[in-house]
Amino acid sequence: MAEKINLTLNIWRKESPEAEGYFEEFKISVTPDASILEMLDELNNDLEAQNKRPIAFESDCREGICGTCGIVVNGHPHGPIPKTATCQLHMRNFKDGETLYLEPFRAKAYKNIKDLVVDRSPLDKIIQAGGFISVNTGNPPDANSIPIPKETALQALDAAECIGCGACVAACKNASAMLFVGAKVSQFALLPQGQPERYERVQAMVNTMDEMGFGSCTNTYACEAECPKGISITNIARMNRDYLKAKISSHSMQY
Amino acid sequence: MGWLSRSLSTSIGKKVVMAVTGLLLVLFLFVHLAGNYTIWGGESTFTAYVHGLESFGWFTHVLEILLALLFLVHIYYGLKLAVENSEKRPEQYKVYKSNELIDFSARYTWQTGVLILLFLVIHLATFWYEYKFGPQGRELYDIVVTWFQNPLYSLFYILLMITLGIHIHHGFQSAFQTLGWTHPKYTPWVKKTGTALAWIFGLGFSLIPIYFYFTSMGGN
Repeated sequence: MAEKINLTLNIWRKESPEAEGYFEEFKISVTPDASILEMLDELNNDLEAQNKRPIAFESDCREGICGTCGIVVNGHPHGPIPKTATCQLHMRNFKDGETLYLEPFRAKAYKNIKDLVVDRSPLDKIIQAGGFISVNTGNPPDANSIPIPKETALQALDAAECIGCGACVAACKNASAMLFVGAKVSQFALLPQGQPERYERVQAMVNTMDEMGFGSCTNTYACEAECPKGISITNIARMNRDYLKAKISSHSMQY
Repeated sequence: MGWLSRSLSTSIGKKVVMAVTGLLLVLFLFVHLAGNYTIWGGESTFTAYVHGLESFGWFTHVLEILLALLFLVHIYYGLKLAVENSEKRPEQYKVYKSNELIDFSARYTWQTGVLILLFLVIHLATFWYEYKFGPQGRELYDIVVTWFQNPLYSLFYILLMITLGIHIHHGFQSAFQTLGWTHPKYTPWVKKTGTALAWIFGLGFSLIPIYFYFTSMGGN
């Protein structure tokens, strides 16, 4: 086992949604093999043993595919290592004696509920507005009965890689959710199954995105740089394109 | 609200307005730079160009009004977006480094825009206003050359043209992204064109004050 490293942690604490937040300092010694979440687990064990309030944070799969975890580590959502979710961020990436700042994803649309936990349900509201396809129930269709070019299938899969963690919002200086919405619009817009609702969908999702209090895109591409799944900003362009097409040619006056 | 005003007030709608007006303003800058360069032909060529523009009569005024509208819409929407976006993160990060991963020009688009607005006001006050409403009979060439012999004014002018270049470096490719005009074949060209435009306008406009400043020091 590798030698332990000593770190100074400045962790954002907030007792309740209404309380004022503050940074609390912890001095810890941790194995470089631990992930940042495992480090927090250890710290919480210690805190509980001392009858102190443990640090609230979110996690689920801990293998980088569920999108539940998300901490801003030293100014980078999911930490400074590219294409890595918080749960996959290991302490070996930090040096002995380093000071770390752990903060929640900050945005007007994300309510900071407790410590490092934020309410990301506005992302769910955007999905509810149109991030789905309607299918008739019945027997499952034959696999590969609808021909899809390989290139298109790959692009759709790349868009579908988005785990909905919302780090794009946390990274954006405008707290814009365009990368998330772009990916969710694109994964359907590219495929035949997504066509019937294609232009209604993009308008409904963009409208909900605006209502939820996300900012607008300034095309700085910080989202793409910080995305743990490397979602491309071409998805944003595709959404913009579909949105414009919908606005110009749709007969519906609804949006 | 009708569908059009409703659409233009969404986040993407506002960006589309910025993109379209921005690209049209780039076209205007080409015309402006070409016009400026008649100054290399000497005083008579430049003055002939200025009088030539005025000889269109009412048509010139229509163009002037359209141009002013173009600027005002771009400025209004830009400021509106900047203010709205600044409210989207009420509680700031203690440490925020995501911005360090992006291009310098992309970090400060509205700030460079505000500087250009400041320049525009001074530019119009010193050249356009003085020519139109200043003492009768003074030619624009004389006004321009006099101002450019002032080192502080020339320095300000050059710094702001560099700012304009930075603004366009981000803005040009950004407009294509906003309009959804991206493609693996052409987007690299769009980005290179944006960089080229930044140099053309940044350096192109600066050459005139540089030339007149140095000729005023006794060269020719």
